[in-house]
Formats: sequence, C-alpha cells, structure tokens
Amino acid sequence: MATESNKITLVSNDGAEVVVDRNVAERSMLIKNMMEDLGEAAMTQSVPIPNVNESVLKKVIEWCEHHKNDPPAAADDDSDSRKKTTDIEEWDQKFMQVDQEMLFEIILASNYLDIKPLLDVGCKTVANMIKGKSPEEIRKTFNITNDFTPEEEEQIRRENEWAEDR
Amino acid sequence: MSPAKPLNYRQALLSSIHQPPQPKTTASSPKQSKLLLLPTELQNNIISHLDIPSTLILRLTNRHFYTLNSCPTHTTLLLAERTPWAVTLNLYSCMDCLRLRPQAKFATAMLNGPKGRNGKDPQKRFCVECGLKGPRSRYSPGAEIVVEGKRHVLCKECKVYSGEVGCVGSGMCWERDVCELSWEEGVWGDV
Repeated sequence: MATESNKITLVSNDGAEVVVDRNVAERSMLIKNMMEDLGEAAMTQSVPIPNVNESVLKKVIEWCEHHKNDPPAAADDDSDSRKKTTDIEEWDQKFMQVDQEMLFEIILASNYLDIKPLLDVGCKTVANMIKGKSPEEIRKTFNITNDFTPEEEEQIRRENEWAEDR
Repeated sequence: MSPAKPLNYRQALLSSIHQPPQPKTTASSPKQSKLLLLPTELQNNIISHLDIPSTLILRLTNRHFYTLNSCPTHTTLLLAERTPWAVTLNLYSCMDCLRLRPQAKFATAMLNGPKGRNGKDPQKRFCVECGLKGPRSRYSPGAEIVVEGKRHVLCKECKVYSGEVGCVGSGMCWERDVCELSWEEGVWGDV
C-alpha cells in the first residue's frame, strides 16, 4: 500500500486541514470506528472534526504521535489502581503544561474523539491541581464563586469543623 | 424564610436554562469557570482521581460540588480518618453524627484501644455530644468521661454533664460519679 493512502486529512472547526498518519489518528476511537465503517472510501476524503479547533486538534495529534505505539488499553480498565492514582508519566506532564483554557479544551476534545488515555491524563492533571488545596484556593484556581447562602454556610461549618480555613 | 430558598433555587435553575448558548470562541469570558462548564461525567472522572480528603474539601467550594459529591458515608469517614491529612489534623469519625471531628470532641477512651484510629472497632466510636444526646443517651448517669486529660462526669444526681468530677480519686468518698456541685452539697448536707 502506498504511504500516501495511509494518511488522513482532518479538518478542524475553524477550517484548518491537518494531515496525519492513519495509525496516529486511530488513537481516537471515534475516527477508528468511522474508518472501519467507511472503509477505503474515507481515506480519500477529509474528515471534519466539528468540535475541535486547530490549535487543540494539533495538540491532540501531538499526543497521539507520541503515543502511537502504546499498547491498547485493557478492555475493562476501570479498576481502582487506575482510578485512585494521579501518577502521570513525565512526557505527559510536560505535554499538559498549558494554560487552563487549553487544558480543558484538550479534555473536551479527547472526550469527543474518544481517546481514553489522553482523557485520563487531562482529568488527572486537573485532579492534581485540586489536591492539597483549601476550598478558597480551589475557588481561586478555577474561578469558582462561593454561592452558599449564609444558612448553608452555617450548616457546612457545623458539618465540617475541621475546615477552618474556608 | 423557608419559602424563599426553593424560590431562589428555582430562579437560579430557570436562569441557567434560559442562558443563551455560549458562543464558541477561544477568548470566552474569564469569569466563567472552565471546571464548572465541563459535563458532569467529566467532573466525576476528575473526582474519581481525588483522594478522600480532597473530595471532602472540594465539596466545600460551592453548591454544585457540594451536591455532586454526596455526604460521606461512615465507611468513607473511617477511611478518611486513617489518611495522613486526618492524622495531622487530629480528626476522628463519629458513628452518630457522621462527621470528622477534632479529638477534643471525644472521650480519651474513644481514641485509644479498640475504638482508636487503628483499633478493631473504630466504627463504634462516638463523640461526647452524641453520647450525651437524648433521654436514653449512650453514656449513663454516673459515667466518668475523660477528655484530653480532664475528667468530666454525667452527674448521677442532677443528670447534667459537668466539668469536674466531685472527688478526684482522693479515696475519701465513693461518690465519684456526681458533679462537683452535687458532691459538695452532699458533703455539706451530711455534715
């Protein structure tokens, strides 16, 4: 098979065309399933990715490039060992050193494109930003407004005596 | 006051429904919390990676996260009290009020031995407040309750939890289970 035919053209929602190797793009289960459904016909056409803009798409593809040879995740990978740990491999940590805007865009894009390992890395990164912070520090970090009424505040204070620094 | 709350809630709900869809721009309002804008299943994904203390703390940030993470169960609290976080803050769980409370709220007997943090029955621990609650309280009149080295008593005579035990082990009298006031009255009455 010619190398040419192993490329797929993806089109972001702002009209940018990104050409990627098929095996890279197929880290996305959405694209992989679509390719399987459409067969060779899909290779000649560009694939619109309506929920993702160019910069985010390129960033996601950068991740897929680096992880293209990863073994596929186990089918039932909802075990506690996966869940409770927030260990992120070094390359992914560097990859995720982006502003919050981009971080959440990557999470949304990986969810839409169905790239579970990338979604996990994104969610773990956010979890790490929450860990070890006080409620007020979490609010500051994520722009969360404290919308408890004074009555609710009072109830929360009673339920959580340990949370003095609110 | 009570009818005002559901109304406010309803208004908040309605206004959130009627909000026009946010235009998809990269430079959206910095006031909007990206975390709160995530779909709930993704917020839950993030929470699934948190340890128990972080989950409990996240609940306190705002209403949304308070309701998204339900009240911790007794099992969760028993796990939480064994984390370094709870050990540092000296927190223990109470089986009755289902709270993590500082050690000053518990009798010393509740914090050591079988009901201690690493004992075999920490799920049977209750705080002084809960132990004294109700007409059929867990502590019976005459019980001596030591909290942080200080001896208290649920007075047999006046049925009140008191600051001081009458006779602090002098051996002069047997009425150690009444409060100082009742004890003194008793002593003077006998004289």
